[in-house]
Amino acid sequence: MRWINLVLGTVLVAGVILLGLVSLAWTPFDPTLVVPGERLQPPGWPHILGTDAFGIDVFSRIMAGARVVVQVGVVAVGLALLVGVPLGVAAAMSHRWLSDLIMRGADILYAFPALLLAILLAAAVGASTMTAAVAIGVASVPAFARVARAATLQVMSSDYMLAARAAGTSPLAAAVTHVLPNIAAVIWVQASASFGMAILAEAGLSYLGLATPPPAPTWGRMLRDAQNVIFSNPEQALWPGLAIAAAVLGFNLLGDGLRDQLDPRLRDIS
Amino acid sequence: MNPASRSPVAPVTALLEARGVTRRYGDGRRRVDALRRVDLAVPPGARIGIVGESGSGKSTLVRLLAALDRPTSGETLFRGRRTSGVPERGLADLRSSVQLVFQDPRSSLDPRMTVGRIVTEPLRSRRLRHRGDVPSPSADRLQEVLAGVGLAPELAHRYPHELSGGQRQRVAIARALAPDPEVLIADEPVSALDVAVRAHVLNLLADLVRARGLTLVFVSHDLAVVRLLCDTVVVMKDGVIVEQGSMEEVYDRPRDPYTAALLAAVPRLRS
Amino acid sequence: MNGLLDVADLRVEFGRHRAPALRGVSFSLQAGQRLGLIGESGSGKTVTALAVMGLLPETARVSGSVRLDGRELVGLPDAQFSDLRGVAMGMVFQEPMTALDPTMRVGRQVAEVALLRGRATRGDTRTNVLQLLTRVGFVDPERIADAYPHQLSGGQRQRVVLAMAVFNRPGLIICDEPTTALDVTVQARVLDLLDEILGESGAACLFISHDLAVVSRVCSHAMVMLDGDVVESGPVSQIFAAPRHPYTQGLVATARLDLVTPGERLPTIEDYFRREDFR
Repeated sequence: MRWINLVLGTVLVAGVILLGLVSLAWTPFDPTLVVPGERLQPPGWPHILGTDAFGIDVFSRIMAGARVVVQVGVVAVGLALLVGVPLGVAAAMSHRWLSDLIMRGADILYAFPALLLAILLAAAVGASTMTAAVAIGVASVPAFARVARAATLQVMSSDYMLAARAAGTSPLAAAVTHVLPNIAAVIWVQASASFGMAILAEAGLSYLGLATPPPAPTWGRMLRDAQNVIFSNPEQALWPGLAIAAAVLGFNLLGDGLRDQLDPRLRDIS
Repeated sequence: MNPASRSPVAPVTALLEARGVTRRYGDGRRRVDALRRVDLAVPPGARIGIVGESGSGKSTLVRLLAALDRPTSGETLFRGRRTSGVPERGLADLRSSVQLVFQDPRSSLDPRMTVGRIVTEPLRSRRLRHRGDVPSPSADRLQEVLAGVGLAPELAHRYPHELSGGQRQRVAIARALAPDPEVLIADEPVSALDVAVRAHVLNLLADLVRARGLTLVFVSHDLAVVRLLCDTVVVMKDGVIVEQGSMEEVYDRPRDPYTAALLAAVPRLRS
Repeated sequence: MNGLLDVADLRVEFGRHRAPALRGVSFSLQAGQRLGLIGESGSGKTVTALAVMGLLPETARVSGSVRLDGRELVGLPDAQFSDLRGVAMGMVFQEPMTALDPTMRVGRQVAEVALLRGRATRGDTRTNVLQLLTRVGFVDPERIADAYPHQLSGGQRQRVVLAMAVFNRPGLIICDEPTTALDVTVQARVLDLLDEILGESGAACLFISHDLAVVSRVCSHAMVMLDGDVVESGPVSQIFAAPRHPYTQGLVATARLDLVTPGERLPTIEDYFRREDFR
């Protein structure tokens, strides 16, 4: 059962990444080319997923959209990991007052929605894929900090941390050698779930026009474009919707599968 | 603080010492005094057993002696120098000379480290290396230490969950002995083990203490086990010491009724 | 054999690649008899108990026969097993916290066992619960009944579990390392209590432990297990005074800490028995 998670997750995630990479070099049609004469063609040949209301090839747009998805996910999750995890570990390992300070800061940030942040960033430097990714990343920092803190507290209560102190291991060394490896599994799960969340959030932001500016294709904008013809051509919303769902599911499954594989104690029970 | 402790004419400086230590957890209505003004001196070469039920404060006391916890009041000393209220970097001498073995090796060994990395952890610590004569974390030293506790060299690449309970506790003992400590504090080291495995671990501890001239602080709820390893015994109940004396004296003629009750509770074969 | 519990040629395997957990175990327990199952971890003593209670995981392949009061338990559907547990057999495990629901007051949990049987009415259940808590040695049963499990000590929790195990007056009580997690003093009190309760109720007991001394305190008979086999069984006094199998001799020697002079080497199993020579 656990292998299925890992395999299916890997396949879906690899599919998204592959689509994005290939789109850099090649797409069946130009994903931004408007051909008024070929509007709303049904799936078939040569447009395997048909064309949209502008006559753009849907499959080419999906491929180009995957690129944006990967970019946003990597930047957002990377940012949240690099900032959130050290903060959470530090909060768990430090004195009460510092811990309280970090966690109250995280609470304030948590109450500050990604949407607002994205609007502010877009207003300040202009909406782009990067501003959306940074906004999503910053908004995910508190979640990572909390998960890291809770997991670290559990590690801190174990006798091996006491033994490490008795062995003269400094807190920083203990954080690197004991805490990080032991909280990695939880962090991985959080990261993959966040990756899925980031994809959803990016879709939402580009739907609102707060992320990648047109004409660059994104799955979120495809949904918005589909909205105008939703009653006559519902399949226009289906393709980007499926792509988003598959990517989100893929990252979640991959996270679960990784967690099972990374834990040496779970690895042997099969 | 106390000028007498620094006086050069003091007869024998205790290696480890607790002076009037109190350890309080929580506050208000949920306040618990785990220790109440306890005094204890561990002279060099002593083999002291600390006996009591869970909640008697015995584990709290050894954690204070090892400076892994701070007393609410009172002070702890190592070689006559204060260790309570001292920042971690001032404890290098204590850290390199006092090592611990805990009750449950499943909790005291990092599940994500190999045996080799666990055992050499104290040798990789910069603070301990400060002492100068701490062995280097070499492969030779690792093999030497593993052999010293009766573990095969190839176990160095295994993870704790791949070992038996007895092997795990040997790994914990190997880690404690790696930096050549003077004092070994063992906190219920055999309580989580099968009776059959217990004999091996106790024999090993006895051999190591004798061969290396270690000072031993052995915590247990079982007087029968303490009797085999220690020459002095301290009986604790509800955060205070109720009886203290030579092992023989206390085992054969307990003065405190609580000690007598502890003795009576020791499981014996009924024949 | 027509005892209360008849186990014949019980074999249990977990997967084809592992050594069998039980290699054909047979024993019989008469009504009111107390049998100690002794062995180290991995010897099959807990698997035996789980097989009797029908608590083996689904992956286990079981053959042979387990009869309780003449009724075959091997292959019994889980629903029917649930009806037996807590009614025809009481259970006490090593870690009382796993047997108790942390979110439910102790009194209600004991009462639920009573309602299992369906004949008790709610009114007299409370009275019964308090009586029973008194019987397992609580001087303030009201307070215990209203407490949550985490508010009790390990020994208190184990006494509550004991109360639940005997509530329906089962003919058989199965104890799996019931005192291993406890201090010696608390262990002594729980064992005394178990002895007393078994004496009063006349229930038979299957008592699993790695500690001979503990078994000798409760049981009249003992059975020594090694790698899924029974190597020796008989009256406790005989096994301890004149063990025949070298493994048992080793076990008896390691249990006798009181005979060792301080400073002397403790005897170990390997002084008497080496696995390599045995198999």
